[in-house]
Amino acid sequence: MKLARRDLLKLAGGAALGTFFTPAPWKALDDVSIWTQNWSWMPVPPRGEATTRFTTCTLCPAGCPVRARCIGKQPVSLAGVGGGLCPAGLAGHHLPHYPGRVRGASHRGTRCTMDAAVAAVREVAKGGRVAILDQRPGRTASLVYRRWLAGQEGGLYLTPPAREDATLVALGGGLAFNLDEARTVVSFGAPLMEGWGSMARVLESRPKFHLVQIEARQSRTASMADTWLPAKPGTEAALALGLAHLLGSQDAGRFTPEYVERITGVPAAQVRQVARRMKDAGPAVVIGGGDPAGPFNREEEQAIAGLNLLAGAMGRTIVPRAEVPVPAGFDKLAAETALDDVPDGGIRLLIIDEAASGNPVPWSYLKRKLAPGAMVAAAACSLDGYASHADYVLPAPVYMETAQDVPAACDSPAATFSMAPGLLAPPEETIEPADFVLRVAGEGGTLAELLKARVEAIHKTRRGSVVTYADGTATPLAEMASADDLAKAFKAGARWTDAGTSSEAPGIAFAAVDAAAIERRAASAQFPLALVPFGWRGAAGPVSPIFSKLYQESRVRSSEGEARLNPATAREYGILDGGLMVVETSCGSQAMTACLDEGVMPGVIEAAIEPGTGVLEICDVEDWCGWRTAPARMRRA
Amino acid sequence: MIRGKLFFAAGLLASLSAGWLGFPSMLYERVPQPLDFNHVAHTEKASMSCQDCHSLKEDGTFSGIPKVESCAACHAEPMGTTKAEKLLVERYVKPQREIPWLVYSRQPQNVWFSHASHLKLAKFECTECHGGHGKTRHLRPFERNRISGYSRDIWGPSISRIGAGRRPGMKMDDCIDCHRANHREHSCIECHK
Amino acid sequence: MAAKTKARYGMSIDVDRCTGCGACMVACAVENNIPPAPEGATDRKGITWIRVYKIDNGLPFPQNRSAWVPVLCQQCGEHTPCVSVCPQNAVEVDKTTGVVGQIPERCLGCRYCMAACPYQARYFNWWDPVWPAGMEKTLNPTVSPRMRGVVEKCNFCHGRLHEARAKAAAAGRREIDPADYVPACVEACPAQAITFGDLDDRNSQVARESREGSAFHLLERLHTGPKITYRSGRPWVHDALEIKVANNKKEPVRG
Repeated sequence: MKLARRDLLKLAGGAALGTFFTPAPWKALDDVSIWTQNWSWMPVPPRGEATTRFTTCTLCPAGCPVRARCIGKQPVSLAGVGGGLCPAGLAGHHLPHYPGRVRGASHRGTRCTMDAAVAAVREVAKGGRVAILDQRPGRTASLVYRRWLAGQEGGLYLTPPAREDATLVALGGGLAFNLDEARTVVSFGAPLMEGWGSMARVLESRPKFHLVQIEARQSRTASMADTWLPAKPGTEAALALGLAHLLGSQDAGRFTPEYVERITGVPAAQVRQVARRMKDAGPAVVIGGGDPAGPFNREEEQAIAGLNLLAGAMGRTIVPRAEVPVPAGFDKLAAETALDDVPDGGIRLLIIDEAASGNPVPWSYLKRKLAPGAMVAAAACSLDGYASHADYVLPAPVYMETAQDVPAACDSPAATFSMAPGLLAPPEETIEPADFVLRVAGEGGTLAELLKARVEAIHKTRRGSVVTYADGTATPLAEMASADDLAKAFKAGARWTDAGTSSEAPGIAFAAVDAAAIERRAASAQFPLALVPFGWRGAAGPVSPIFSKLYQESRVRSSEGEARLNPATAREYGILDGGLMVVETSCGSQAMTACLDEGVMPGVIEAAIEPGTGVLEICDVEDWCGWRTAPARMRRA
Repeated sequence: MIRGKLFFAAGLLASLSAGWLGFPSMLYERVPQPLDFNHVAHTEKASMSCQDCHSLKEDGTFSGIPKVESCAACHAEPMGTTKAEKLLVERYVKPQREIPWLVYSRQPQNVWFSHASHLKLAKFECTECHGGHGKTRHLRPFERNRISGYSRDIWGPSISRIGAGRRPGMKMDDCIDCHRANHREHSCIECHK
Repeated sequence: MAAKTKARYGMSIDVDRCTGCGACMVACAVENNIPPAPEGATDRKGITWIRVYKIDNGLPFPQNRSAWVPVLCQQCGEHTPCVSVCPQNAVEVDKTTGVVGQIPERCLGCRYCMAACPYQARYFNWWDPVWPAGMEKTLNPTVSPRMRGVVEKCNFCHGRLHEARAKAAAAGRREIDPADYVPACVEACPAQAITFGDLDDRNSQVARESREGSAFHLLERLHTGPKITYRSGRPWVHDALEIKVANNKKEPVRG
């Protein structure tokens, strides 16, 4: 039999018809459509048992309690306990996967072993003039630094200048704000509504006080304040002296409201009104510092802090606070040194603990303090900050990767202690910054052991009570049988609050305010054009890539490279909205995009310092101490 | 003429048999389970109840297949001489590695299925969806769809989906049929996430 | 009495409390597996189911004052613009919750709904979702990631409603405990500016706040029946917000 073409066609026709009576085409179609929903590059969320764990946020000094929803051990979302969280805290569990994370110790860009780094730093440390910049003072790690520095020749313990408790430090230390008692709060640029102290506590007390914000920028705090006094940048302390004058200070004789109006641009009537409010609607409290953009200088800070003495804040809205017990072996501690007091070229070895974020300091400013050929070692999790300038980069664990203690925020009237247990394992090559210093010191031990000793020391006091995050139950410490129980409670999420605040007010020796210095500075601050940087708490350190929602996919936060101008100022310089412009100071220039906003003071260029700190570098003008504001020029690009 | 019809019939027959017999066996890849688990031995010999391993938690989540640490509670050392027993202890219990079970009823990622509402509110029996799986002595191989990657149980045992198989399939259509019949069909996002 | 299983979920947002911190936006992205922006994404192409807008009173310095307002899908109740234009039936209003649901599996990406939405609260996936290496471990398992080419939007954290329902079911109840169902933005807000709940329950906080004198809906004249109410004691907030939303530019059509 010979096969004909016709036969094959019949066969094919039969096969084709038959196929339609089988499930094959329909099933294949169905499967293919499902297949198109399962691209291999689409990430698949993890499966597993859902658990709830608790920790304390270490990303900023607020130390908020955190509830972590976990799949297995991996946190997949974070929430506050009995309140909200800030954006950084909400995305804190992303940080272990930060794309720019430092992997392995390195020496000027080449990988080295941790032992080599320890040996090299130890060798340089022998020569003295050692400094540690601790971004988050008050932790157990800080004790480690201070103990080691106390034994070093010329050991300097440095803290970031733009501290939230700058006012308290100026008043002698050992103090805390008590906003709950305050009826009038006068803030000199402190970002009360944006991130200062503990957000939850500030917002809870907010309905009870009248907020006066003294700031050149219409910050979020300024817009939400009851009274906003936009003093020209650099003249805030003159306004403080004006208030002091009205509150009866002898040192501020010249600073009549009219004189203050001339310097600061704030109407005399408003200055009088605020002074009256401080006198009549007390208790009042005056807060300066904590602005992530930069600190006031010493004279300014003293003038601001001194207002508290005149307003009768001491013992009412500013209260003495006991220290959290310290384990044995920490008798000799180096005192804090202000960066301003370090002579230029005075540091031979600078170790920076960058793992805990703090408010940024321009690198050029730090660099001036370094001796020629000085060594810089930075413990950091990314190269975005100081680590990019360091000789030795030591990869540090991030939030949730190691156990950390969380000291009380500046607005907690009672001493508190809580811990952030290590919920996740840190990558292998990381080292805890305190452990690095312990190794350099050759003292042995680890931070983990010291934390255990600290918990034991707290347990010994038998004072105060422990509140668990899970259910909010308070247990008197005296009822906890052993230090292990207390350690377990901390690990599961708890906060110890000391019951007895030390009742004796520390002897406050308030140096007479240097009115002449303030006057000189305020007089020289009459720039035709001022560059005013601004930033957000914690954003100077690494933040989750999800922050693109705030910086890139919306304009909730202006990112670096955006200059905010008053339309009148822009017109004067021929700059259009969205147009390119160049901002110049005596130490550099930066190209920026103009963003016109009626809320900006005429004659002011507001520039965000984050992410990245390029703007900060051009703000650090040497003949104009500090970097809160700088004389600037601008032109159309 | 007859010859043409014959060729046509042969083509028809060939494609029918290929479509009904060849295609299903080609479509599904039979993957053995990592271990041969014996449900009967656990329920009868060890007199465990189903809930000992597969339970509904208070928060509404279903435990699914227990973790290896539950196995380790009894199987720290081999409890018999079978090959599976040795494998369990050596490969999973001692190194504390989770057993990569292939779940017959695993739904796509975008499906939200709550055991709690089907068991407690709709009063389903486990067997209505999972058949007599709890009464088996051996684990049948997992049949993976070569195109979509899903288990054959989702489509259901009958390739034509006509007539009652051993148990119904677990496709969206099957869900919808029941939800419709019970007037519990409200929106897509009720079951999709 | 039969258990109450029907609800009409809504939100009330106190503009005067909002500090503009953006916690809601971050919490939303984390909860709903919204990826970080790829390079090149702008505020016109990004995905922010809830987005905080800055508005001001239009006065010159120093009388100028700003406010921040989170805007999300308004969950229209009556003439839902997006539902009526969808050729795919990929948008629907759940009658038991009042939530306007978007089903990415059905969406063909025509973006009619984006053009129709007067609140600009719908977002198109211009890119496949990509997380930095390792970060996919932090994804939320109760929400499925969406692929490139589909539209998405706020669904009041439906994954959380699923979980709340499962929890109630485990206890043998059909009615959920309101405390178990709180969207991520509401939970995250440090200023507690957002209240969430059942508008049909007249005694709920959200229903009470929605009836307050200072409460208003966005673009009320369109009669879309939004289930989000805004409140502010500042008279300029209402007009400034309407202008802001109406002038907002998303990129619904061009590539």
